[in-house]
Amino acid sequence: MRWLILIAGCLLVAHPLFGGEVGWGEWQVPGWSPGGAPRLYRGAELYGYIDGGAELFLELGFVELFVHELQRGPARVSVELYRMLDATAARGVYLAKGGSEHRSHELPTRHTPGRLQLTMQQGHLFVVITDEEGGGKVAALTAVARAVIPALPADEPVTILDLLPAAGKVPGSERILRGPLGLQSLLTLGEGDVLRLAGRATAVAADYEAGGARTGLLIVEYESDGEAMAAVDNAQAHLDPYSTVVARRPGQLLLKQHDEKFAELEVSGRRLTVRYRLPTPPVAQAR
Amino acid sequence: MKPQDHAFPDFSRPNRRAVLRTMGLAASSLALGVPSSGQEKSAPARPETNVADFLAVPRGPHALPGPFPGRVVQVTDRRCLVGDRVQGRVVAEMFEQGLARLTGRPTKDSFKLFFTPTDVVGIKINPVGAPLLSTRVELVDAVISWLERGGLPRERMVIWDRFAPGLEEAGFTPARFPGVAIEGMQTMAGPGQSFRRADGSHLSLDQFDPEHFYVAKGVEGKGVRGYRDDEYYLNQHVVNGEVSYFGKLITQRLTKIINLAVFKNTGNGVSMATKNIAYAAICNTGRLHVPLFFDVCTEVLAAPVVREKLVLSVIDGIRGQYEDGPGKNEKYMYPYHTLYLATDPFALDTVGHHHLLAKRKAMGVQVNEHPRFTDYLRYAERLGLGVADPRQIQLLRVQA
Repeated sequence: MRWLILIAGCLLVAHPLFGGEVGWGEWQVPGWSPGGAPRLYRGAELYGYIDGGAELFLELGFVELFVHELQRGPARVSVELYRMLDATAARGVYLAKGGSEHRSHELPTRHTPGRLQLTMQQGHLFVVITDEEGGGKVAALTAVARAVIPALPADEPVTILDLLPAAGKVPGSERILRGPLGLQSLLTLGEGDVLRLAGRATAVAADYEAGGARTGLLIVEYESDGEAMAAVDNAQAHLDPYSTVVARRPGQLLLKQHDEKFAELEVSGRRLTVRYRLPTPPVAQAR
Repeated sequence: MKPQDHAFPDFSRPNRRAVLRTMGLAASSLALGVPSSGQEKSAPARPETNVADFLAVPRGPHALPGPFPGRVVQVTDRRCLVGDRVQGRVVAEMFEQGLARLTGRPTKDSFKLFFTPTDVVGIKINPVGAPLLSTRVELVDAVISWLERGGLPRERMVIWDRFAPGLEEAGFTPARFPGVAIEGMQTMAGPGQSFRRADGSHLSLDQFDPEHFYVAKGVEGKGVRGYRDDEYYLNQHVVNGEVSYFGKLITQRLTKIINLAVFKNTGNGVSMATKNIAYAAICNTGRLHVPLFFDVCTEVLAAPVVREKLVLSVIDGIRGQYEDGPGKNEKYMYPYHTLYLATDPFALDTVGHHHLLAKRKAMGVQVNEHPRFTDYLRYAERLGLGVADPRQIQLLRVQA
């Protein structure tokens, strides 16, 4: 048994991204020379690279990051390859960074082009390519991106996003959350991991427009009915001091929030639905 | 014994005199009614700090909020950016117009409001997000020019940040700024390097002052979420007890500070004037993010070594970023063509927050306007450090 573990360990060293991809440590782009040794950040080492922004990656599920600096004449480009826990985590980062479902003839994968930065997501990899000279060399970014794409893993559907109804959804507002940091960016229900997401469940959220109002919808599917009920109980137990409870029933909680708007938490089976930024309380609860 | 036990036996806690001073004032912090986030209602317990020690020290002539509490000047000139290139001459004009509007005096006279030629002036920049988003070297040129014309020799100027490596990346090199000192208070050892000396102490330990510190009781830099282990944390933060020490650069060498922040967000709050100083003046900050985050921006600025020296704050909004800060994300960057100036950094952050919020809404970004993201500004106002009530803030606009 010990031999088996040893052999498995050697294989992991030989193929750091053991999902069938190339070893990014030795990865090269034709026509470009390395601007230095590639850097590798694993797990919480990410703080050493993006202090102040690492939490988003870590909360969604971060494995490792390769950073390559490339040079061609005066052009200097950095390529950041984030290997996330799964495709859902990679899409979560991509969406949080403003990514869209854009594809083009030149780059046939999900990407968001810019003059100085280009982001891509495919499978469990999230990629950022940056023009470090700040000169707006779009062609250079695209050329490097083209060299990256063949080495990306196969794309995978992120089916959890299908939980969000299409009618009225604001394009580009979709988010994937796996902890309090992501939740806090959308709404404040209380201190800490109030919805008990971390390590337990993945949530999806989006904005919806109807009748001139822009409201938020967040959906979590827990492992069990009990987990979903416990999340509502936990939210009430750690309620934001600026919120007040308007109504409480088993599996339901209606709150009036700091801005005089309403938030409703409702459990159905193992699904928790949170509607927030509601200008008026839902009729059934207000009775 | 573990290495960290050897490394900081005397330094991981304040000296005995300091402990007695802190303990003596612990009770008075309750009497002063400081502080709480979400203070208007029953808030969760908040770690006790030594802010009462800071407040007990009498204020000097240059104490925050300075001579113009609540006054903020916004200077906008679209000529400051041509494509991606910052126009140094225009930025200098903007800075001087802003100074004149803020102080009500010509540039040559405004120097005397804040400095004498014997001062040692620290110019705090923000290198995060270089080359797209950091404090522009052209703005620093304008500040240095103003100081020189006031009679301050370049040898008495220090461009600084907490971490050394980012300075060069953001363009702050001796070749670019001859005669001006460029200093990071702290190094972080890279892969394969040790951050410890032979005696086990951190390479940067001597850069911090055991006599001047910020205490957050019970909040230690051990087992902090997001750090691989305590050694990793120590590498980045020098010590890991419940004490954060102020840099000796600030406590012993600088007599005045000019703060050059950047117009950008951090989550639903801003990473502008107060955060640019608060999280750079002390070490061991990683432990503070979760329990105290924005309150640190108020309490560290309440410390006499900052409060009495920080005479001018400027927000570099030549290019801004309205989402995914404080790191750079080009998708959310935009040419803003603006500088803000104030002696009151809390009024400055209040204005910055409102203007950034308006931009976020205009761009359709999901915003959470919970008061928790601005409570620290009202807290600072209660402590007399600045003005946060928008009705009391005087916003003066200069448009080219």
